[in-house]
Amino acid sequence: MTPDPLDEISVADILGEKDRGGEPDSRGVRSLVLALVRQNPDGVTAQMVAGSAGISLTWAKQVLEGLSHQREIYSRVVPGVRATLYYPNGKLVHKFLQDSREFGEQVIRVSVHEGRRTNRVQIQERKFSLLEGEKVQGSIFVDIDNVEDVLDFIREVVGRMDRLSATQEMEQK
Amino acid sequence: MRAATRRTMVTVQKEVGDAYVGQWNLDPTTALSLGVAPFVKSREDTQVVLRSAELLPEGQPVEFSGFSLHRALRTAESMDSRADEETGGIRFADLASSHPVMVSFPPDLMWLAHPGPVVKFAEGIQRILPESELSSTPADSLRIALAIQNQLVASPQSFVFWRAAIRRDLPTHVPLTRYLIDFSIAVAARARAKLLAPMAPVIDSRTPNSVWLAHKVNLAFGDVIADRVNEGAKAPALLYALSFNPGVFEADSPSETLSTAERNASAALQSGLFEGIWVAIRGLPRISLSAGRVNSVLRLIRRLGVIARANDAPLWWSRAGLAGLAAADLGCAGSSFSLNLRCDDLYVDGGGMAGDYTQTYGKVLNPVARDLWEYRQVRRSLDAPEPGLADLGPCRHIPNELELASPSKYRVFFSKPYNLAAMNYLYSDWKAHIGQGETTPGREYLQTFSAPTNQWGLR
Repeated sequence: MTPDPLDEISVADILGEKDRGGEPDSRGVRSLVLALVRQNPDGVTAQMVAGSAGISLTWAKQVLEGLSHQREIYSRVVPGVRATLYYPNGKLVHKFLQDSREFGEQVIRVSVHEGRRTNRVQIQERKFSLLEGEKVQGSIFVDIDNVEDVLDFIREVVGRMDRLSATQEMEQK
Repeated sequence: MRAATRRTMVTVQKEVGDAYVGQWNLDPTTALSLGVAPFVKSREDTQVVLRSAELLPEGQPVEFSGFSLHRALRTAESMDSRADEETGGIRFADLASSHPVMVSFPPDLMWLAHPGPVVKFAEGIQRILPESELSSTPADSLRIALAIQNQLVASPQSFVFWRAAIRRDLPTHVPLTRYLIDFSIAVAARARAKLLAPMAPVIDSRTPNSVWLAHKVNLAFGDVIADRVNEGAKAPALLYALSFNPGVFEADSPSETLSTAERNASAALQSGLFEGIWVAIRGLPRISLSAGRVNSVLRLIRRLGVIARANDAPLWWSRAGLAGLAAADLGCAGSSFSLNLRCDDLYVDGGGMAGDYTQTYGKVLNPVARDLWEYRQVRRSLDAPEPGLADLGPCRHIPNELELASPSKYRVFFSKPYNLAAMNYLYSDWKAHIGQGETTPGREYLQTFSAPTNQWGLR
């Protein structure tokens, strides 16, 4: 009986992991590039990324620009260096310290990043559109020591708004 | 097999015999109501669920075909851009946030590989791949889409495509299978899907090893999703997908292929890579004609239900239609139904419908008369003392003159919304009977249905 070639297909074959320089990697190019930038907080060039990820320079630039657009990384043209350098937009303390939740139309992602003095909480606003999927609208960083004070501050301002509404209602009466 | 931690859990509210009522907690803020759900294939179906969203009970999921999702989203996008008053519908984002989106891949498209549907699928690949994890360039995406399209069309009803798809002939040296995985995840992300059933090959009785190929494709999806989760990225909950060709189900005879599929599903759930089991069965209309083959299908459903329950996970039967009620008696946590209530292949080449009232107007479920009514029956009923179909409350049971004159208006504004309401009415009735301690209310209801649907209730 002839062996069925379906027998010989492995998970590695399906993922294309074999013969990739001996380094099996089922991550996509985007994750790979993001990981490379995160591993180099002093910045990397598109050429360095292309070499490490084994992709063309044009492709590396495209992925880096996409990641910059999503605010996962940022870029800067450093005087004296001809190329653009790409930096990680904060380094996650742990993978579990990143989560997102939907509040109506808004998607809020909260993550904890390493900072120079202390860890920092990043609050990112994302918005979903059918045209572009989920995209970052903006974000702020708060030193972890100040999180409670910032939350109190927000409550204080929102409290003022409630008092203002109550006053306006009384004036109307 | 890689080990992972499950992210979702089923909670049971009421249990009678094998049947249970419950919810599926997908994350701290999302609970999916188990039961029945609409299956959305086309742009027209998308219009129906967006316009008739008030017919969906809280937490009811919506299952979308991943092959056509890019087209469905284009329709949603065009509806979103117009005023609510004009379309009378809700925005897709609102639908997705209140009704968990499941993305799955009906097996007939890749198996039958009819050129028309395959070309449209390839368009989706070209459009979506640049935003996938592999971030393919537009030129590469076109090349990949054409390669998949040509391979599929060249070898229908065989596994030649899968043998060819693992080769790395493209300049990127990445196999087509890997692109299919990334396309599936990216298109699910675009639809804000909470659940994804992999694009696994169909299991065919003439190629017993197809059960192992399907298993390995599932595991490959599991591997990629586990990596995403480990990196802290958002990823949909993954279901273990089992699709079957009708030949697998012989009358009253469990096959070795089915036993292997059950063992594989059990091992897959225990790995923690999968959050539940998803089943699709081709050829249900023909299977329904034979009591013995129906028994074989229900036996599989019962056994997979036991495997899923043992892992606090759900079993989901895609496009089961009315048979989903019989499956619910046997521990199948959820099932979907096409809005036209057809259970046969979805991706066939069109044509030949003009002038055929049965085809163009479709059928509508009369849950009280226990029959699927054709257009002429609906029309005749308008002259009765109590005109139209049964009044189910949330939607109109009598079509208006405009709808009667236009097949597309009839389907979008009358028959499909009515079918949605009727299936929800039946499941709600099923739940009420379970609440009273009845063990097989689904099968008892189907027994009294007209043939061949009644086969699903016979024992």
